[in-house]
Amino acid sequence: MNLDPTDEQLALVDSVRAVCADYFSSEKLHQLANDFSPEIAKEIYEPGWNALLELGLFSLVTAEDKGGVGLGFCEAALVFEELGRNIVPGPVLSTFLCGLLSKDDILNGAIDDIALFDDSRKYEIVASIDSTAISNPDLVDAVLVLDSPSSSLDNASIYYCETSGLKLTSQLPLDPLTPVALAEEKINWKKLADGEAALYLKKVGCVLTAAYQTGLAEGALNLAVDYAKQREQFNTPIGSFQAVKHICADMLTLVEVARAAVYVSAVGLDEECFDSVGSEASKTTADNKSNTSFSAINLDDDLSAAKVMAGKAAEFCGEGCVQVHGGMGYTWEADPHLYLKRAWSISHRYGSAGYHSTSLAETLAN
Amino acid sequence: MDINYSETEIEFRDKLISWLDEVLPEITESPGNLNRVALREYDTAWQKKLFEAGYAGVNWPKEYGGQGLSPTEQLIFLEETTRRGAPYVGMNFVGLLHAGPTIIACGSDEQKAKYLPPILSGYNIWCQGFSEPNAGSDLASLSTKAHRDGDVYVVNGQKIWTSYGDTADYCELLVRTNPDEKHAGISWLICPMNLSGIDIRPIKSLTGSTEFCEVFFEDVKIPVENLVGEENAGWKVAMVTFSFERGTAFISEQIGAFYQLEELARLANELAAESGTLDAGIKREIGELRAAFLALWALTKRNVSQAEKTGVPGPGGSVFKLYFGQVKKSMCDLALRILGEQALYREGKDEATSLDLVTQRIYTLSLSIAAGTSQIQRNIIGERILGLPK
Ligand SMILES: Cc1cc2nc3c(=O)[nH]c(=O)nc-3n(C[C@H](O)[C@H](O)[C@H](O)COP(=O)(O)OP(=O)(O)OC[C@H]3O[C@@H](n4cnc5c(N)ncnc54)[C@H](O)[C@@H]3O)c2cc1C
Repeated sequence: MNLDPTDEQLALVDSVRAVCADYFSSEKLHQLANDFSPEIAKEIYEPGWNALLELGLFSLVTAEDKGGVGLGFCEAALVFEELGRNIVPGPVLSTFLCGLLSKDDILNGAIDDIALFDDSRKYEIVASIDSTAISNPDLVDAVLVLDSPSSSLDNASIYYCETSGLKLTSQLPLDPLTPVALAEEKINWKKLADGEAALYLKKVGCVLTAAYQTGLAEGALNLAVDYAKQREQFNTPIGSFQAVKHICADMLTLVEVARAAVYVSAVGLDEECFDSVGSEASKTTADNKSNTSFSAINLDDDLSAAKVMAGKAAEFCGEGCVQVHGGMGYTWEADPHLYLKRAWSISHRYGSAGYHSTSLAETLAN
Repeated sequence: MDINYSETEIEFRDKLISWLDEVLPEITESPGNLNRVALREYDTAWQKKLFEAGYAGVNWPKEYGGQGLSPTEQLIFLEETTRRGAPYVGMNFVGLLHAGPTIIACGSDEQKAKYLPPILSGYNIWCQGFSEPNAGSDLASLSTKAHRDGDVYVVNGQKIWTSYGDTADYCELLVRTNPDEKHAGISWLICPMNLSGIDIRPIKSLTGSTEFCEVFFEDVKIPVENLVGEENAGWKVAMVTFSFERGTAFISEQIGAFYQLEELARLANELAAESGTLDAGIKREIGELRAAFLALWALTKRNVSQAEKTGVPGPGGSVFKLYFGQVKKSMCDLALRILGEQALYREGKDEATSLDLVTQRIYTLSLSIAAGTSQIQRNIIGERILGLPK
């Protein structure tokens, strides 16, 4: 057992951090927050997207012999944590997941129509076939659903629809970095696949969303701590007041708790997905594992725990960051609200905290 | 103790209700927060209507245009206007809810006669120039200077977070008249916003609207007769302002929250009808919120009764403000969870036309900052109410 990132993994995170510093600086994020029109997106957002593409983000876990980077979900989690720390907006995770559909060894053969997927396109994944709210409508080429009609994770399907055919009306978004449009008519979905593939993508989506949320939480924490050291009231830095110090300490506590849960579930994903490729035998062991309470890995429980705790961390830290900034935190030009609104806008993705808490209670009760 | 309303109070309510039923159908929708001129027009038009009908300043003295009734009747007024969706005080907030009441409590007869009636008739809008870039929580360290020169104060410095600074006619302005003292070197002035040397720059808030401003003062000459209270005794006057701002100013928002909770319960039921069950956890959370709002309403009535004795609300305002902010946040948090993907967007085009629960969640971030942060309210409760050492 070792839950500490290696030097290679940290170097990967550094390279993502460098891209974020160049392309997703606070200044650029505010330009997008003020106007996320297709023109501005092309000028400000696309170069950053391309830099991430070049870094191999969208084929990070694809085998090297298939042109990928050949890393695992632990690396992916570290990368998404860094993206969260920098509030990188847009359909990054959805597009990453679609990359798995077309390139991944494990999902090989899950869908016939892999021509629908290539690196020049972007994708958004919505919660259900009844969803009408679509994030990043002007950026994405297609929308997908990872659906499980019985609201159990079994028996899931993947649906697909090109955005060009949709009648969309844009809305005033909760998060200025997540433009949203409503589909005026019921979306005409095309079914791409049944079963396991959707289930698998949901799990990956859940863990990587939790990783991103943890990053958001830590980004907000860092900003709050910097401010608390520098802003003075009553002739002393506000960080010297216990009321402020304790908010920051509570933020850090949630960040660390969430991060640990995220790393454990990322390891779990690696084990379940890579160590059991094509092997029915190990799949059965995986099933048995979930019945043994002291096994090292119980992926479903672990990823639920990660999603619940990371969501909590992101919202608490976003709000704490606003609070520590006082009046400054209530302004549009400052960064704190960007963390919080982003946290709110992704909280329901791949199962809300309510959904995952309920399933944790149910697996315990059964 | 008596929670029943008197004959006259019941009569007041009945008359008010029938008047509201008559006028409200003609009221149009608010033009929204971005169009500041139109919004001022809209907010003051409603105030003017109240004034003409004899409902402005229910508990303000008769001689200054008020109705001379009790705080209980004022509470009834707020209850019924909010329940029936009458326009919100909006830009009249500072004048009606804390500048006016401060002048009633601390102003001279001339000041009352001059400034109170135009607040009630919707003719004048006020703003609050207390906070400065380096004096927020530590307000008493404010450094905007005023020195006396004949019959004027010459004011230099800067205020920030001045809500309605862009549209106000007057400002309740805290200035430093003695640089050698802290609390004892502050004065409370009435500053006309059209004086030369005042520069106003709006700041965009995180709701997306420009609801507050930076205000710069360069050699602004304010007549000495605009001093409220004694020179260098402005901190005491400011404490009176705070007791209104923290105590009674949030009452109509509090009543509004009841109806938002109703809306939320309706929404939860609708979604439950689609999925087949209303989640027991959510049901319980709604119930807990209802308990908290009912208790806070009781607290408000109690605070009002106590204020009836002295004319000025006590430090109980901090208790109310602290808890109300928390409960309203929890309610809007629950709303985001219930809405799920539908919480990704806000209704309407800007904050004022957008009164949905998503926008409310964003707005609630101000409840723990404006009018003294929650940390400062806790310090006040700990030190002034509980007598804990500083
Ligand atoms: C929507 C809105 C409207 C406003 N309208 C007006 C207005 O019309 N007129 C006006 O004058 N002002 C207005 N304000 C300003 C408001 O009163 C101040 O923002 C508030 O008093 C905090 O001051 P600050 O912003 O300087 O934060 P700071 O004082 O810098 O506080 C930063 C953080 O430090 C904490 N802190 C500071 N001191 C202590 C302490 N001793 N103990 C523990 N914690 C501490 C605070 O709680 C906060 O979390 C408005 C603010 C908002 C958000």
